[in-house]
Amino acid sequence: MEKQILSVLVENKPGVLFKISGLLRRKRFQIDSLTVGKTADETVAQFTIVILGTLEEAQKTVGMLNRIVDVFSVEILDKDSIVREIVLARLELDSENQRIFLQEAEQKILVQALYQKNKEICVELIDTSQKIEEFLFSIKKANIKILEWIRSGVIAIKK
Amino acid sequence: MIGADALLKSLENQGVTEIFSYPGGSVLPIFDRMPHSNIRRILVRHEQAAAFAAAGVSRSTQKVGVCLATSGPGATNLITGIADAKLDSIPMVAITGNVFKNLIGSDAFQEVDMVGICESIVKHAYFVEDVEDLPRIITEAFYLAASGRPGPVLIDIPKCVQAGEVSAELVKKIERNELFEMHLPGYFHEMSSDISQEIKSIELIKKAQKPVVIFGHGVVLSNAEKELKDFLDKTGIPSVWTLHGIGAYDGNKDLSLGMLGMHGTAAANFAVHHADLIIGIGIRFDDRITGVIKEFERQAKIIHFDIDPSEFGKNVKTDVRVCGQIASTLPLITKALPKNSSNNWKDWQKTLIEKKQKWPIDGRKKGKLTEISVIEELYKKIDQDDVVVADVGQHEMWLAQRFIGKKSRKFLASGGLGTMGFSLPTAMGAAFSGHKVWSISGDGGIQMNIQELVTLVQDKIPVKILILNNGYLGMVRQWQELFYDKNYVDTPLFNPDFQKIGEAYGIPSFRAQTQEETQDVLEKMKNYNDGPILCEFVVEREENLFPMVPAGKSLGETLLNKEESIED
Repeated sequence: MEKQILSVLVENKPGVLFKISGLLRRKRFQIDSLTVGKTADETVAQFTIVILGTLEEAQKTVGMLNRIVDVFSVEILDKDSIVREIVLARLELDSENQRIFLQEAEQKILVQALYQKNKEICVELIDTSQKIEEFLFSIKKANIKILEWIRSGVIAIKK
Repeated sequence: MIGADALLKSLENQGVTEIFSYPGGSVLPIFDRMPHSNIRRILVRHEQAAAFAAAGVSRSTQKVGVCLATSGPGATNLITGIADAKLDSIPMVAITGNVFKNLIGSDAFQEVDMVGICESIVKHAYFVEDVEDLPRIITEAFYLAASGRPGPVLIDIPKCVQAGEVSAELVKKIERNELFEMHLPGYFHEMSSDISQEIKSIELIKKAQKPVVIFGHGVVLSNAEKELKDFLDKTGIPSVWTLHGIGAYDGNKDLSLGMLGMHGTAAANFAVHHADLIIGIGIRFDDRITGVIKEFERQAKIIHFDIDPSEFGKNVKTDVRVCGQIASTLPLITKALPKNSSNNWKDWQKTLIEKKQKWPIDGRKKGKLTEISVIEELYKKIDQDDVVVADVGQHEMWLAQRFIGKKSRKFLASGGLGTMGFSLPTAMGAAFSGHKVWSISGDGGIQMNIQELVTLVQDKIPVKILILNNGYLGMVRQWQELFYDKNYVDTPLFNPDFQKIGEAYGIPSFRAQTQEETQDVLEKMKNYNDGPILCEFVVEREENLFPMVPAGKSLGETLLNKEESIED
C-alpha cells in the first residue's frame, strides 16, 4: 500500500499528541509510523507521521490537522525527501558464518555494533525503512536469532 | 478574590448575561460566588438542557451562550448538547468543574476526563491548571468559539483552581476589564485563497447555462445575508437552501425554490440534479442534501465558498474553492458579473418556475387534524420576528419545507446531530433573544427533556409549546412502513396526558383535536406572554412525509409520494 509522509509542526504542550492521533483514528487513517520530538525551538514540536493511503487521502488530512488549534503547519513530503529510521537490535550469532554475514551486511547498510557479550551482539542501524526491511529479511534468511528488534519510526526532512 | 470570582468577572467582561447551570460538589466555589455576580442563573433540571439552552442563545442571537455543570455525571450530561453544537458549528462555552488537582487520574468520586471525552466534539478544550491562567483562557475561549468556523469550547476547572487565591496584580487587571493577551500561535482562522479562485468562479458563472446556488449555515454564521442577497438579486441565479440556510434569503421570491435534500422540495432537488453549475455558499455538502454522491457530481461544475478549508473536497469533488469570509469573497464575484448575465439562463429560470408551480409543497388532507394542517395554521399566526424551534423528525421537515420567514436565526433545528429533545431547552435559550419563541415537538421528543417545563415556569420564560401527538415516532415509523414492511417495532408510543402534565407543572395547557380548536388555541398562545403556555394537538396517526429521496438514491429520483417520482 502507498505511504505518505506528513510533517506537522505543533505547539509543544501536553495533549497535542492525543488530539493528532485521535483525529487520525476518527477519520480512519492508518498510521504506519508516528514520531515526535522538540525542534530547535523548544516551544515547537515536530511530528513525522507516515500514513497508509493515497496522496488524495493525505491531502484530506492536511486540512483536518490544520483545524486543530495547536497545529502550526502541515506538509506532505515529496517522494525525494530524506527519510531515516533507527533500529536497535540484540542478535544472537551462533556461527562464524553468521558473524561474517553481519560484517558483509555492514557494506550495504549503516550498522554499528554497540556491545558484544558472548554470542549476543547489540547493533544500531540507521537507514531508510526499505533498507531496514531488506536487512531484516536477510538476517532472518541467515537464521540469525533476533532477541529484540526496536524501531524508532520514521523521521524525514525535505530536500 | 478567588478563581470563582475571576471566572464570573471574566464572563461578565465577555458580555455574558445568563448562564444555564446545575450545581454540584465540584462547582461549589462558583455557585457560592454567583449571587455576587450580575449574571442571571437559570437552574435547569438536567445538564443536557443547559447545553442546548446555551446553544439556543447562540443560535438565535449573535452572542456566545454559556452552560455550567459539575464534574462527573454533570459534565457527561452536557455531552449530547456539546456534540450537537459541534455538528452545527454553534459557538458556545461549556464550563465544567473537576475534582481537586491532586485527585485527578485517581478515579476520584465524580471524576471523568472531560477534556479527553470531548476531544472529538469541541473546537478546543481547556483544563485549567492554574488560577492565574483563568482570565486569559476565558478570553481565548470566547474568541475561539465565535471566530472562523464557530464551535463549542470546553473549560474544565478543578475545584482547587476555583477556590485558589488570585494575585493582586491579576485582580487589578480583571477589575479594570483590561484585555488579556491571548496565546494562540497555531490558530489562523482567517484563511483565504488567492484571487485566481474568484477569477475562475466568474468564468464558470459566465459560461453556465443552468446555474443554481445552494446557500447554507455559513451565510448566517458570518452575517453575510446582505452579500448573498446582492449576489442573487443581481445575477438572477435560482437558489435553494439547506436546513440551516433557511431565512438567509427571501424564500418568497420566484426563483427561491426551497430547501433541498432528502426531504427538500421537488423543484429544489430538480434544479440541483439538472444544473450545469452548482455554487455552494457556506455549506458542507453533507449526505442529507447530496443524495448519492456519484450522481450529484455527474454533470455540474461545482464552486464552493467556505471559511473552513478542510471542507473543500471532503464530500464532493469541487472545481473551484473560494476560502474566506463569505462577506468579503462573494461581493468580488457580484461586482465582476455583468448585469445582463441572467440572459444566459432565461430558459432555465422559466423551467424552474414552472416546476415550482407544478410541484407545490402540499399534502394537506381534508377533514382530520394532521400535523401539516397544524403547522400551516401556526405559520399563519407567527410574526416575522418570532423564533420557531423544531425538534427532530417528520414535523421538523414539514416545518422546514414551509418556513415562510425572510430572516435568518428564526428557524432553529438540530441539523447535524439530529437530537430528539432539542426543541424545548433550545427554545428556553432562544427566549433570551427577546423574541417570541415557539417550541414544536412530537410526542416522542418532548419526553426527552420534559423536565425543563419546571425551569420555564420557575423563571417565567415565555415559550409557546406545541406537542404534535400522533402516538408514534413518526419518522422512524415511516421508514418502517416503506422499507421494513410495516414492522412497527417500538415506534408506537404509550403517552401520558400531556395537557394534565402541563397543568401539573403550573402551565396553562390545552388540547386541540379539530381545525377550529387549533385556530383558537394558537391565537391564545400567540397573545400569551406571561411565561410558558402549552397545547397538545392530537393529530392523524400515520401521516407520511414527502418529498423524499430514499437512501442510496439521487436527487433526480425524489419521490413526490409513494408512487410518483419527479422523473415521471
